Amino acid sequence: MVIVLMGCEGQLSEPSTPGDPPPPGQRAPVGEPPAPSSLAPRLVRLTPRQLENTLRTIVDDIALEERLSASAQLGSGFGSSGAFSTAAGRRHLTEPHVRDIYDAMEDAALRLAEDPAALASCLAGGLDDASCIETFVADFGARAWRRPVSTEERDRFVATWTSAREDGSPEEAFPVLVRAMLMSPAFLFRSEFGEAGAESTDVALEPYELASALSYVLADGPPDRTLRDLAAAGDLAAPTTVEAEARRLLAGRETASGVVAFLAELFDVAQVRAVVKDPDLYPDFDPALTRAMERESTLFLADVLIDGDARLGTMLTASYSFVDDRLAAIYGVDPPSEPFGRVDLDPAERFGVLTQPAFLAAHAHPDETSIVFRGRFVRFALLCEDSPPPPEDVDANLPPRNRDEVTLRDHTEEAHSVGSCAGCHSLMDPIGYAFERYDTVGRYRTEDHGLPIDPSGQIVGGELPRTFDDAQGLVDLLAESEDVTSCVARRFVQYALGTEPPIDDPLVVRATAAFQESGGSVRELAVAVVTDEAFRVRRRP
Amino acid sequence: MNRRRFGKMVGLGAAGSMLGPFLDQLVTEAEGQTGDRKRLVLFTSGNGFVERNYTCEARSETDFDLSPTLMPFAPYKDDLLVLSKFFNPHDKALHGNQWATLSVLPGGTGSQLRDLPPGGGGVSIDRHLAHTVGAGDRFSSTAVGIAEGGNNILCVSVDGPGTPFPAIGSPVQAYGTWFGESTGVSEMELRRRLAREQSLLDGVLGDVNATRSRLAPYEQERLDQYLDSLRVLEGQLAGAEVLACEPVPPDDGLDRNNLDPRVVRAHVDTTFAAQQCGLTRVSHISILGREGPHNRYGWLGDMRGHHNNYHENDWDMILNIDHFILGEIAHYWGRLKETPEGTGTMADNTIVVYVNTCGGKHHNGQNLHAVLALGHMDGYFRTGRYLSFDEGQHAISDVYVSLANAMGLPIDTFGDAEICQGPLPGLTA
Repeated sequence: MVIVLMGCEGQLSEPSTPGDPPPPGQRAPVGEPPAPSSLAPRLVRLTPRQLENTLRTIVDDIALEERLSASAQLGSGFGSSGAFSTAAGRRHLTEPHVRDIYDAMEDAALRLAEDPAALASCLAGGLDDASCIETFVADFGARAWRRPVSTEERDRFVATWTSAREDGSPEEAFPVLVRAMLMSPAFLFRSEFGEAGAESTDVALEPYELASALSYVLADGPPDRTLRDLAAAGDLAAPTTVEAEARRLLAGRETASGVVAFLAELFDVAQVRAVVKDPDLYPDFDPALTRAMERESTLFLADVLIDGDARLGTMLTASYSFVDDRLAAIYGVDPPSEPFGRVDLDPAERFGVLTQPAFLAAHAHPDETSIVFRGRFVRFALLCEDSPPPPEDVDANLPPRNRDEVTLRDHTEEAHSVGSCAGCHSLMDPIGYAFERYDTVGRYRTEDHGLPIDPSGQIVGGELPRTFDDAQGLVDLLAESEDVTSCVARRFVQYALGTEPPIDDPLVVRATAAFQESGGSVRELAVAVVTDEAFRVRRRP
Repeated sequence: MNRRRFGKMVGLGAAGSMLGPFLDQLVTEAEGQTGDRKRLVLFTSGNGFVERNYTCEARSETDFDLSPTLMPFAPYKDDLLVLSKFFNPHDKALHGNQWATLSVLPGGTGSQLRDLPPGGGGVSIDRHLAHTVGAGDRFSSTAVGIAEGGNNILCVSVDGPGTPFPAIGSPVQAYGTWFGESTGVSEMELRRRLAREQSLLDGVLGDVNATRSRLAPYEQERLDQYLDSLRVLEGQLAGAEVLACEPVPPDDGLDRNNLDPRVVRAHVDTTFAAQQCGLTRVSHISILGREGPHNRYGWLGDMRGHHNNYHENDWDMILNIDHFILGEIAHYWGRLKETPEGTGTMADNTIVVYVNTCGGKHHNGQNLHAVLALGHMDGYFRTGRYLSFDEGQHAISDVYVSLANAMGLPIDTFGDAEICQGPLPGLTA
């Protein structure tokens, strides 16, 4: 645990408690986040991306993510909201969001209905045969709902079709049926109820539930045929099988997408899309460039995870990346023969994801760098330490600076050394100094408006206070730090279970141990979490 | 085919457009709504509506010169209330009151809440009015907003703790949601379609209930939210009727939610249409209305982004941006004033309000909130006045109580009861 020094009131990010009860007629929040190590049976809502990935296994050009993300209120990214996309499962199904689902599923159903025979071969003969509709419900349900459809469910949805058929043609009634199945909780949620009829307090997830849990956490999508077959045969119960399946998924680009998404969210690589730069200084900084930056860091993280040694330390220190022409210009290297091909970067200048433009540009001002944003991000994302906003009586603007006379570092140091500023800034700023050799779009530099840059600093608190000479020194310390590994293990548990764990949660403790024993392999961290008993057993209250 | 496309396919077309205003009046009179139907349109923005910009040279409450910032309201000075220096002690962050701006209750800021969505400790004033005076409307309230980046739409409408009421980002989507079923269709087509939609919802509701019955009580709540929302949707669909008014749909090219004057204007006009057609009486238009967004008002020459203009003390650019926002409000007010209703115009029964979530300073402006309002609400408010209270004298919730009273909701407190003193004194006629 990181010790917070010098009067900074920064709280460790403990789960919040709900406020007062709501007025009558309004629903209370879903409740205090439960401890991941003893979760009760539950429904887990899929994220818009997971819903999209699910339908894309049936028709490959369906888009739901963009359509549903705004009203799902996924927040503004982990770095600023502290919530991963998987927390969507705890959010309210508000009226505007349900309206959005209703509209989006209409479009999806119409797209699916364009080729009914692809959904059930008997539909090639027409859409008005009730027995074929029965077959369709069973077949389509098994794919969209990731489990077999019960007789009762089948009859219920055939009745929906019959009713719609009374008020419309077969061509009008069929999409109504498809849409109803896409608005079913069986599609929108995945269940973690455990085996029906079990007597004990602790119930293991039933096979299809476990297949879905594994697949949506690791692959960000529905179980593939191998997992479905294992579930159908009842062969997923053995821990060795679960581990083998987890390793199989984590070895593939597509099937490890969930863990890549975790890393991309942890390092907040999409945040760069929300920033602007001073067009006089950086006229080329446009949306296409920010998307390229996001893509670069995502490709890099995926490469280390899937094709590399999967170590967090490598993600924090490696001197290579995947760039297009414009990013190559920022790095000052020759562009690769193909866009987003691998290039080696100057090992004296670039060290992992924190020295890539997506991070550097997102955590900087439009016209200059930000020591505070960059330092604060590292403390929050990698050291699990939050800091409060500046006190009310303080002008949080830095005083004006003559850029030709004083570096941002010296200016910041002087402004933050006094009064109520020092407590928190003495924790954040000395980490942020390390990145001063990267300008606001991530280009390497040695001078700040003609003045030499001093990138040395220190990590205050936690393990023995450590000093470093530059960004390389910082990332080396972070890569070796047990504070960082325990924080990232906690972050992954938060991502995988969709609920933020207390620091001493037993699952977090076990995951941290496995992560550290593996030398910081994110692959081993993921395997440890999904094979943990807490992942596959639910405790009835 | 989605509802918007469906709506365009069949219909009254040009004849409907020509008859529009005339039919509106007939419908309004037939429904006996004249003078009864009070409406609120709330505009919000972020980054701060600063004290130096809203402060007017005033010799008395009624004898004052509009500040340069307020000049878009010059044609409507007699309709205007400039109210200022209200405090809001909740959810204070560096950039404003966040979700508590409209709820005036502690809830938690984004940085304190993790897995739960942020959202004030109570219901926002627009949603409170939605649940009360708006409860019988097809849409209890509407909310639209601009996104900062990606999908993060900045809007502080909220239904309760941890329950933000999401705004619609695209004007095209907003139009489809509000008008999709009910414009440009024949009565028979509409009924057939709604019957199919009812089959759909019956099926889904039956399925949700069947799933729910298998759950433990603590887990049923999650599906109860879904059921609640589905029932609201069912009510919205059941209430669909062929509208007499013929709103103009936004261009398909505006199916986006970015900061662009055409997108903002489309939101303003589509919201106006929803109110004019009687679909709702409470609306929120959020022009980046939360915290300190960095978006660039590029068409105004804003090069560094709204946020950074404050840090650089670029008061000229801040004035330009304020003029844009207030100009949209003035546009809305102008449309109300030119639209007949009963023996007067829609402006007689509508109040258009502006609140900035950051208050009267970019940082920590929570004690200096200003509220601008256009509209006398059928003689309820005495307008054409400038009221600047002492700092700390009134919480902003006092203004919200006055607005609720003007809407016909007889409450004497709102939000945090410890600080709310009831309606703001001296406002009513």
